[in-house]
Amino acid sequence: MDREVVERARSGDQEAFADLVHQISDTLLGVARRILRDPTLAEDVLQNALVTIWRKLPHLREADRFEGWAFRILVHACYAEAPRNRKWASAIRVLHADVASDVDDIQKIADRDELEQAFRRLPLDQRAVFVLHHHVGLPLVAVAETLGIPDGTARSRLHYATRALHAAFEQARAAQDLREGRLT
Amino acid sequence: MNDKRDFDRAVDRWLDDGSDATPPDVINVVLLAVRSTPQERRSWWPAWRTTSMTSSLRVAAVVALAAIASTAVIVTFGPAGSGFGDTTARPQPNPALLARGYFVIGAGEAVELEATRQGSSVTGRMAVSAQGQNEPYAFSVDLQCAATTEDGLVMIGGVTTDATGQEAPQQGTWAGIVFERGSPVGASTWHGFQSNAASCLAFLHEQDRRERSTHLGPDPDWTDPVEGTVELGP
Repeated sequence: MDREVVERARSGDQEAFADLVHQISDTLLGVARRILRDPTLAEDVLQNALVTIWRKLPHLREADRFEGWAFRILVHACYAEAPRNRKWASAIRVLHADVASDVDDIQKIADRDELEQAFRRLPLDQRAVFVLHHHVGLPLVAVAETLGIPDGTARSRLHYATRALHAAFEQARAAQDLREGRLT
Repeated sequence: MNDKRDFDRAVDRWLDDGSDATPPDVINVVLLAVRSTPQERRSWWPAWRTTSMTSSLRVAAVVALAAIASTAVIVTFGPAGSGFGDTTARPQPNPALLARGYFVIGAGEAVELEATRQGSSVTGRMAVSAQGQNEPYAFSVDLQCAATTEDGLVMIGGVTTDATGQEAPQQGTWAGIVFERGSPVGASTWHGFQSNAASCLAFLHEQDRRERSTHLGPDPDWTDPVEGTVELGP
């Protein structure tokens, strides 16, 4: 992120802000999509977050911290939007015989479905920590700093999220082993 | 080990699914909205400035803080024992309990803690141990300072001693704990963030400021509820 562009946007330069939007929107959308599990909702949240970033940019004291600060605004926008949206899009996957004929493919799809369902059961704050750590690749300390929470809290949220997903993964594998046992 | 690798691969595949390309109309809507949305003007926030303040701003901060000092409890600056506007010598009060207990928080961090305050001096010890993401870790903290924020969070900090495990802070670095009063009491440890704070109080101030720096307010679930016994002083 170009520090000078951030500073110009912070001073009210709308062209500079447009540059920032083009640089960061895909990354922010990726985070929102993964936290919310709803592409349409993620786009709405991204729009809200970007406008909030524009409004609050004068409050950002250090231009070098723009990216982490933007993540934080985005996550808060996810928190704000999610409870209002009662209808969650379900990730229904149609299994075509030619796609899922291989045992490995079946396993991968089963894993993904179990992980998806387990992730959707997690509270948003745990999802946010998990996505920032595993998808964005931030170390836990950076996740904590980005979200404005103590690092102990970030650590515990990641622990709970990982434990739930791991249990779902184990369940998918056990179910598959059972199916294979039945078939052989 | 295979199981962990399989799990990591499955998570990566699932997380990477889908496209992150922002549709152009989404960006256009934002840029249109920005044209008619004014930016917020930056407000002067005197209480959380540190050593970079000029002397005139520091004087102004003292005046502002003195105006509200009757009910607010503030983080103190400078050497241990000094506070804003405190120039009168007072007899040392009896030791008072800051916090004491044995409890578990968050991702299974077991904490044993006893901290007392006598005047401006804080003494005590905190021992932390946990299973960790990859391996167990444990460390002790020689407690040296404490502060209470305006919204009632109790922060206690000190120097790390006897550290083992990957996730433990390095020996000699600052570490601490923050409590949130309530039923149950909430707590969270501070020990992963690399701090260059010159003093224990500066470390607490830095941790607190880190969480409030963007004016979005603290996260509603800032601490985790403790399980076990914890007693906080008045």
